[in-house]
Amino acid sequence: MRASFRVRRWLPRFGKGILAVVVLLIVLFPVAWLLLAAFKTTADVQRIPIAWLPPHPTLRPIIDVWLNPAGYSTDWIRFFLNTLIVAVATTAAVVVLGTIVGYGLARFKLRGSGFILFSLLVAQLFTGPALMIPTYVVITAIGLYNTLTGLVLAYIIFQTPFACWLSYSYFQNLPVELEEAASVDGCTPWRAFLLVTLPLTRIGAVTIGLMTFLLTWSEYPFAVALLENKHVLTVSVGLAQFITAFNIYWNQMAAASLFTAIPVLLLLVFAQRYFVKGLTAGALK
Amino acid sequence: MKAGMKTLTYEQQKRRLGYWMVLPVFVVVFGVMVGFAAYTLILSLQNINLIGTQGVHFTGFASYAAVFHTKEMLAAIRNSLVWVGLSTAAVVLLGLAVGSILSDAKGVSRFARSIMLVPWVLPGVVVAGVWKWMFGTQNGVINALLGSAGILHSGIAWLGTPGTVLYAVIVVIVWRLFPLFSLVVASSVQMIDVSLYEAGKVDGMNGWQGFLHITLPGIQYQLLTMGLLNMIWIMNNLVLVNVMTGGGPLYYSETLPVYMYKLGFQYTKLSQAAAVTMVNFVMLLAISMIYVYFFRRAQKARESV
Repeated sequence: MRASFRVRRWLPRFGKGILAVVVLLIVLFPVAWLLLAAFKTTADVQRIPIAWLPPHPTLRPIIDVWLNPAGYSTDWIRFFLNTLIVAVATTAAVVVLGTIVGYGLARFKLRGSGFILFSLLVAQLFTGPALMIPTYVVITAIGLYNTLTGLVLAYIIFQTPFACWLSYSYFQNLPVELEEAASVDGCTPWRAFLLVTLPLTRIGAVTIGLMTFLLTWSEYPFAVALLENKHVLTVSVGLAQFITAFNIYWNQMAAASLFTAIPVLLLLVFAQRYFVKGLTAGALK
Repeated sequence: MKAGMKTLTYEQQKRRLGYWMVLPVFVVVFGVMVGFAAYTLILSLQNINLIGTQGVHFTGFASYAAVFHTKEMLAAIRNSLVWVGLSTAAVVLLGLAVGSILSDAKGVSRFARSIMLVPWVLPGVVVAGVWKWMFGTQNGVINALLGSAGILHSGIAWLGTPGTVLYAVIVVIVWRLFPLFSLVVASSVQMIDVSLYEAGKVDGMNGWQGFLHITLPGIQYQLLTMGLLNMIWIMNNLVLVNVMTGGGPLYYSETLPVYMYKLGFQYTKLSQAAAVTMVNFVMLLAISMIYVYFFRRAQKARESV
């Protein structure tokens, strides 16, 4: 009703359908192109004029990336495992810290909580390149340059503010009655948090965890600043080196890209509702 | 009486627990961030511009003077302004158009929503890689598409030509950010009260007026925050330019973060890199403030009408 009124004179119904299809095509085309390339032979990705569909479909690029020791694989498997370690460690720490801080901010009327919340937002300004140089200098000074530990430490510091903000907005929407009932039953606040609230935080914690995992898995600036040695690179840095080097093996690049993207795409498919919540929380609150 | 005293102690207990939950983490995390920011400033006033510089001391604004005397720095500032201005404008306008037109589409299923999130969720390096290949001169799919559409006869070196390189990367960041923006717009529009439009219709508003006077004011808060967030993301983006062009050819696609990266990690001129970081930060702050100022003014003008 409202909608047909809003656009009746501007776009007929079929025009809207066409727009939707065009937008989805534009959004999906690069991903489809990548997917196709992962099944093309090296000759076919270099062919002029372009080969649209794989003329000789092959699993070669995927095998080269994962299995062939003479190819890219000896490094690639390590990059993948490194990233997994870093992302899991960071996520675990950030979920715990974010949940506790967010709960404290949402439930107790603390003096200065307005300032703290504002600071958590301003912290967004400092993510990325703004603190690359000092982070590099300090991590090097304490002997953690080129270690996964150093990278995880940096990630925990820089991801926690956003997680606190997310969990704060989650707890604000969680009814307080159950905890009040627990206090009537003589629970201390800490026991009420552990026994009553914590089991209810599952959804919030999953949202924070997914967002943190996603951001950590794909992170580039800090990884490239803090890691150099091949043994400790994450997928982002490893793939970036592969792309920046003079590259004709676009099919291997595509295969490696797909493996870099698959974890986050799987998260998107299976946890879409958490994502939409996490991504829009900051903007809609 | 007894019960009242008990709740009081409970409140005190609660408050104490609250401080214990919030303050330690906040102090450490924020202390580190503020400390690092302050350290960037200090670094930018020193002379650490080679590996193992001996005799570190304060040299005032020497590092700033050094970078500002290079053509590269002036190019980086100009590129950053074009980059952040054009990209943010394109993301906001495109996101607003797509989001508000498709906000009601009943066919827009969870599937379509998931697809709209794909560009944002994909790792930045993957995005940079596939677009670098797509923009290729010889076997890039963009030249092939334009060629078969009869628009181009010979391939353009999109990423190798000074006049096109920055705009090519802008296309990529707009592709990455506008779908999420339109999702936020769509879900904000859906929260607007339907009866407003019906009342407008009674008053003889047409679709365009309805958009101007009901939709836009209704989603202005989300527009402001999401627009600002996007601007920060764009200004701070390093990965796209770094992986697609490395700032080249020459320095025609070099933005401030890319120049900072080059100075700090390729030439190990840490103080100069810190100086560039400070310039980038001040610019980000200034642009944010101008943005918020104009937004508030527009908001007030609309309210007083």
